[in-house]
Amino acid sequence: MTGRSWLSMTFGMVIVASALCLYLAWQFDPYGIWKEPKGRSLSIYFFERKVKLLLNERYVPTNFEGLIIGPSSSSNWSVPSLNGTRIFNESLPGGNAAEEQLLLVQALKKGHFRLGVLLLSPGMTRDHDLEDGIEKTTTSEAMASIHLVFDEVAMVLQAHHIYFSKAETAPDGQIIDYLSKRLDPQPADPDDYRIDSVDLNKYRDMVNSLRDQGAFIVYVVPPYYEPCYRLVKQQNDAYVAEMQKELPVGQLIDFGQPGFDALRNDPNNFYDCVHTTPDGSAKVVALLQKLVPQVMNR
Amino acid sequence: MSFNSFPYLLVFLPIVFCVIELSRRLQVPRLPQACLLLASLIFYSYGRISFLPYLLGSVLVNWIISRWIGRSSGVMKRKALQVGLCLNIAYLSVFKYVNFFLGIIPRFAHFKVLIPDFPFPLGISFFTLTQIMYLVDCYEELIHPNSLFDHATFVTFFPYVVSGPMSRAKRILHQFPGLNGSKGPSAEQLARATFLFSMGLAKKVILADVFSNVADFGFSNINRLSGTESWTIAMSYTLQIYFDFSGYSDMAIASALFLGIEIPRNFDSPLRSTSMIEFWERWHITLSSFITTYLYTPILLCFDRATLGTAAIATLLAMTVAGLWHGPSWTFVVFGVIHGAGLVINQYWRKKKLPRFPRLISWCLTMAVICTAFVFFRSPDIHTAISLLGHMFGGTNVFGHSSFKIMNGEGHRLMVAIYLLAEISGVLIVFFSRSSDQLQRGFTPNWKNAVATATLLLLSMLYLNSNVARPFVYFAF
Repeated sequence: MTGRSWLSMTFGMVIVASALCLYLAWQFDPYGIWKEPKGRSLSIYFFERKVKLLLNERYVPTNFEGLIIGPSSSSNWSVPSLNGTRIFNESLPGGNAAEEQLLLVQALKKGHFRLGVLLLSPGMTRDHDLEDGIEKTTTSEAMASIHLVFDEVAMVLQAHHIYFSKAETAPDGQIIDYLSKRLDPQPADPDDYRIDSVDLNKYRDMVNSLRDQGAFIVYVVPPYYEPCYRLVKQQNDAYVAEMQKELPVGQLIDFGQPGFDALRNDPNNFYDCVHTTPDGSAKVVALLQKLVPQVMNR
Repeated sequence: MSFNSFPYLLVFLPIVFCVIELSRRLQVPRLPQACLLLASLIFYSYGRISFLPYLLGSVLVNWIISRWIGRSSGVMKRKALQVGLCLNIAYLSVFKYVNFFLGIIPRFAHFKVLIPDFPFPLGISFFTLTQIMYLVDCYEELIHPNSLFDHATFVTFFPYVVSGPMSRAKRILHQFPGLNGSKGPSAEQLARATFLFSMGLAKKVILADVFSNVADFGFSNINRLSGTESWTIAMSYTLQIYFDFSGYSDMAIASALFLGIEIPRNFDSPLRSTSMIEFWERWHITLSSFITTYLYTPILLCFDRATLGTAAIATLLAMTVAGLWHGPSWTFVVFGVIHGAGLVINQYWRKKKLPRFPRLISWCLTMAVICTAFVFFRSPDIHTAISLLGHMFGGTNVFGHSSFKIMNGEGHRLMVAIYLLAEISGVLIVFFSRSSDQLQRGFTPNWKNAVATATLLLLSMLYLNSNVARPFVYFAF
């Protein structure tokens, strides 16, 4: 083979394979960017930060009127609707207010939201690190990228009912993580409750931009496993009080209140001190579906 | 501009190649070289044009000094070289080391020092050393001082201006007539360059970044690590920096080959070395050549005679300076000292003809020293490095693997499997495959390596477009 024919063959293969990638991206469109997103059901399998940002471009604004904004403690909640409002869960494992604000800014470009459910959890304001390149994510990644390939494979597996652990993930932003069970209570680390000023400002920006759209704001204090909660209650209450003082007014649902003892006391509801199991999440969601309409109609 | 970026891959490199090919056909004297110089200046100033005057100033001053050396003789010639060396070292020190040394003062004296905030021009460590080599070569009459045009083209040549490989003028300048000739590189050369470039890109974008995930996790969770995990983290960083820098060097060599210019190789499977001497013959070859010629030998010549003791002192000093060259931090100094000590022991062992260890044990010992040194290289401070070394050599919790469980728990099983596959491939490439330099020298155009090249290019571009690729480690130096 001559050098010239080798070059033609190599670059020819690159061009053909690139064209195939583009075709598959358009055909599968796992982020709802290239085809009409209305009525589609798109789940998140991998690279949740990037995928949520891309879903927020068209899929979320077209299909949802309410958002849950939170860290990992709420990321596996599947909330189809609250008070008749279709809800997308923007929560990220290990997420913070800075990352959530990026997601919200993207969603607000085309979206109009009537309800914002925001978690008051120390994880939201501990640091403002941006992970997995969320801040650099561009639409071009929906044309050809390594996470797109992963998502296309996941869609094919799911379509053929081939087992893979996240196949049952709901198309409402739910992220399923199977964590190991670690229920040993730990005393509170003061650093965990430190409020990062950048995060606080981003959090405030999020609430204000949702309120500017006329969205109803509900703050939620997530449930803790009771033996852990006893050790951190004082710090957690102080944190919630401080955040409420700093943030615009909104209704509060506090799963740390005595009425939710049964939820907090059942070890089957928790993987660890803060992360709920699928059973625990289902109970939290059921409670939210009951409580949010109550606070909205108060 | 980074080699692992779309602007470079899809715009800059193809345009420069086409423009230089076109300019060759126009047969205007030295037009291709003028185009190359312009391209290099655009490359250097892309995204940060404010650094360009620092590069151009350095080029101009060194060219003036080279002319001075060229027309002087005897004491005056020596003085000209000394002025040149002092100016270059001062130039590097101002931007790189002033803050470091001023920062030390308050530890010994009870007063505050106002530390200036100098910028750090991209590639200053590399283009300054390149010009030091040039001045010494002029002094020793290995080359004649050349025109400003040639000197500027040589120093600013975009494949190596930012991070090497450091090239000596005599190796590059004689290729300029070919660059200005009417015939460009052959299709076989271009195929070879494409093959090498694809390997370099994949090394950086896929392999280095996979290992960096493991290393980053480890360095941010040092207190949790067991002995085995600590060694794996240190090894992962060693592999990360190898793939990062050797990938960069492959891309640099390939980029120059596209224009028909050959620049020196920088790596030759260094992690297979069975001694520290062998390691430095294979790792960052252009730097170790600089250290030997321009640091070690002059230091050794300062002594009355060369003995094992004086050679040891020269080695330790040269390697400490080489460590400090990487950056103004004590961690780099310790990195240099560890390598210096390793080389001294190795020299002593050889000279005294002490019994040789079996190959595998020699390799293990060499890797242990290299990994230990790279722990300092990666750590933000000495304390962090010592903390990790405590876990590596501590002897408590030797075989624990809970941190890796946590790390793997952060990702999905399929992703963990894919990352693991990339890591295993990386290890196999490092320890069992031929080096990219050997592969490109033995390259023959056939369908197998066409498929391999196309696959590597496509996969690398998919990774690149995921925006998960990190900047080159050596850009910081």
